[in-house]
Amino acid sequence: MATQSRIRIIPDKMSIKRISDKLKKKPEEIMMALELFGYEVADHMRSIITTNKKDSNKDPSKPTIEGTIDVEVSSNRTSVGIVNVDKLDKEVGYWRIINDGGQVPGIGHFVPGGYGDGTERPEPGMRGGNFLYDLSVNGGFRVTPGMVIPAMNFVERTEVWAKRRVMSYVKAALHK
Amino acid sequence: MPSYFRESRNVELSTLEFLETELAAAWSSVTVVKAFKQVYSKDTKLPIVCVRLSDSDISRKEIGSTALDTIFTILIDVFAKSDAQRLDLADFINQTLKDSWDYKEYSHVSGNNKQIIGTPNGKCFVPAWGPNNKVDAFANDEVKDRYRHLISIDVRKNKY
Repeated sequence: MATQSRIRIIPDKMSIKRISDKLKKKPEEIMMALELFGYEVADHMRSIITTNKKDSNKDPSKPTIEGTIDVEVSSNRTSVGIVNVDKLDKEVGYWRIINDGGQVPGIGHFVPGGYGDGTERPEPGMRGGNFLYDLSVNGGFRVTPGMVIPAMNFVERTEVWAKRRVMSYVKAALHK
Repeated sequence: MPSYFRESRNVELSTLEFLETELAAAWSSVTVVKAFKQVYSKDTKLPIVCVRLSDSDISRKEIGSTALDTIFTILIDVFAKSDAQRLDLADFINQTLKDSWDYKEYSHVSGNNKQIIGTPNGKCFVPAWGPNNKVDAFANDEVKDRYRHLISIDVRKNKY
């Protein structure tokens, strides 16, 4: 089954061959190292989420974003993927707003009624009275959630971290 | 006595101030903010650029050295009025950041906690770029989320 990952380590066959020749290792060993690196990347992503999340999941039966992140190795063992977007969308659909941030999407509820000054939504500090709930009124006030969620960017931050990690491996190998 | 900011805040504020100045010179009415809450404030109009420091990667400069080598990850969110503006603003920011800018040490003005001043002491530069992509901000009727772009950069502080 094809997997769709946001972060995917895909070395082409020639690169693997070149690396394995250079390091005098078998291509399978190089792929094994990449797979292990994939687990390290996934761990890092999970740690970003757990250290940044505001509210812990109180219901253990409900899936969490960090619990949904896993490492997938393609069946022909040529690539390693972290974060299956389809799986995240299916199991924890709210992951996008946690990653990208934004205003909580929601239509809100419509409350029939009005304010004492006859306005639907008076200016703050200029209230003409309290809100009067009235079912017979054709109009009223729409209550929309105004909560802003700051972007956690766990995908992008992991990408930056993984890239930096690869560069440090390369630098270390060059200085050996 | 004025209170001095530490390196992370200085890097973040130096980048924010630099972008604010450059955007004000080349664009009209681009608001530069530091927090998501300010982006969604009723008073903040599009286009908006949000600059924030997300991570610091700290390592020793050399084995046995007490000096630290820190790479800061700065995330820049662009909230544009259209897709074209999103791309233009992102390109402008990337082009502007490729050259170095002043690293400033900020402190509160003595006796006034609301005002800060920055004194240049080195340079900030970008050794590497991270993801630079459109943000498809879910099915949302929030106008500010329609044309979003994310730029992430590594920033290093230099003495010179």
